[in-house]
Amino acid sequence: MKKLAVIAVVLALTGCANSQTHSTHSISQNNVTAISVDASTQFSVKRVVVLANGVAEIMNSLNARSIIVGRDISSSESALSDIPIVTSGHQVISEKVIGLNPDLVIIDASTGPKSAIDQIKSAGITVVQTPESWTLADIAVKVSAVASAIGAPAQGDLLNQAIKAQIQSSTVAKKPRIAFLYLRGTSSIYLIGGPGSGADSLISAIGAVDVGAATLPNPFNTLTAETLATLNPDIILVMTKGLESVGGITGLVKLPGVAQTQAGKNHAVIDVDDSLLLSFGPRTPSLVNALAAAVNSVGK
Amino acid sequence: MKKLAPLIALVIATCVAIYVGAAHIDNFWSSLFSPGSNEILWQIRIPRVAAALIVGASLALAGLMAQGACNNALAEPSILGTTAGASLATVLAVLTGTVQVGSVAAIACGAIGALLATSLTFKLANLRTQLSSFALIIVGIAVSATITAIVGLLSAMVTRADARSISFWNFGSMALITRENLIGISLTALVGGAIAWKVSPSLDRLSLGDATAFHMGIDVPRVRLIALIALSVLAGGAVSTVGSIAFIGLAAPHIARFIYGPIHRNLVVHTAVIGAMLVVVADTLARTIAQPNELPIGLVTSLLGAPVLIALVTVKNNVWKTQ
Repeated sequence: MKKLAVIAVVLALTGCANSQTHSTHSISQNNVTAISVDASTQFSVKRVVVLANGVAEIMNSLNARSIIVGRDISSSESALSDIPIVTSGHQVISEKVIGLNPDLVIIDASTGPKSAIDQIKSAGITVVQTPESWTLADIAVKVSAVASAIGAPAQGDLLNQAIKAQIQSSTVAKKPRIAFLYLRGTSSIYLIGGPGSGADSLISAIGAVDVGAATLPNPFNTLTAETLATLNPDIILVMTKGLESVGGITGLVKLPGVAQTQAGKNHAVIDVDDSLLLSFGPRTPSLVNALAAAVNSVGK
Repeated sequence: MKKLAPLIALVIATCVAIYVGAAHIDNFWSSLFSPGSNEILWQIRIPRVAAALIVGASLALAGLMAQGACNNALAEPSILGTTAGASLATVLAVLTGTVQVGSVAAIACGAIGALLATSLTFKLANLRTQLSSFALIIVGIAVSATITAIVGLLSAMVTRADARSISFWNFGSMALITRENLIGISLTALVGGAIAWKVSPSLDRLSLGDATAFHMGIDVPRVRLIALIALSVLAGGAVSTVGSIAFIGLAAPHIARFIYGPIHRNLVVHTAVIGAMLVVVADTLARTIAQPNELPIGLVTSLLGAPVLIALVTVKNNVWKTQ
């Protein structure tokens, strides 16, 4: 009788373990491809330092990789790996940039500090600020601005047409409710994406519902565990390093608030490479397709 | 009635803390009396309120032990290096891969680190002369600052998430508390509380001065060591699980002295009640006033505890002189 009880308990525990689905899905840089134009063209500049988020990737797709002499850390395509990184983007050291002898430096609104940018301008170097992109619609504007800055507007138009042709309506089967969590385990808090986080644009592009964008006020909101449990997303979208920072999927589903959601209970988590998710550039159309496939896979 | 006020306030604060939150609980009362029926209530809110009660009582009692052992109104775990020592030992243990924050092993490391750091403060303060209050506080601040800086350096140099951030160790957070964490902090609260209860009559005599206490038959070093062990167990358990929560160790014993007088055995109970009440109120505010956002609890305890302490000192500034 005692043995039967033990067996029953073991079977029950095994059954519990098996009933929990493990439907995580990773999207890495290897899962996406960048759209590019091959036609060669002349550029109005010869040495460009890129300090704006994602702009080096756009230049690579414009077939202008040869004129990039320095870049920020945000553009992570393997084709750019041998171009020296001169800044993380937020701590520009003017000496490093000027030392590369560029004739153009491309920045965006988040590049700083301002004093370093002023010193670069004082050295007689042209500095052009390109717009940031946080939605799919912003990509064309950014590509055109970059293409104009390097004197290749026609090349920019070609790239925009190629991107537009590939951004298809990759819709998902159901209308799953997705929450984008920005995790940094060290800080003991987590942020949920709201309207304007960037992820909302990707989620709506695949026909899913961003629960944060639908209910919260800011692009990124620090959340109490109870609020996340109440939002109860079906799927959680995170960045890969963010997921690692909380101890992977095992650590994530133990977090108060996450554990009580459908996503937490079903381990329905999609992680996307940090530099890819919000890049909004030539790799984004491919990312949208990969995200739709991942959501369909996780939601099964 | 005045003497029952903190207990009544604690009961009310606990009820409110369980009732309010970012999420609306349908059928609250039936869920409350049906354990496990509502996940948000039973897996998030109640464990967190319980942790606030335990951590508040622990930090307050740790403050009482610090003040009693040092016979010094300014002594508290963060000034004696106790909380910094607990933080450093926990971070080191996490970095070596031997423990996880919140586990019983991490709590043991925290308690050992707390005891070592506090002992270091006492040793350094006692090097040249007899233990003086001034030397103890100055040395304690220096030891605390040094250890806190090391914790900060480790947090900056090592990006391992499970070691938590410097803001966690400096300001504390109840956001990651789970039901499993309650076991460890309950144990340290019980053990530390029992030691505090046992040693409290001797602390009354110690408050008359080391020489007088000695002539009254008190083994002063032994009593001080026992009180410091209680302090380390209580602070180590709380700090290694939720980080440093400011002001509780200083404010709660002072408020208790103001209301109940200097007898330590009374103070053990009442300080714990007041500390628990302060942290429950602070945590409830931290997670509700800026919904859906959450504020760091350490900021709220400072905003809450400091004015109360100032008001009490303004009304009656000779709480310690009554001894």
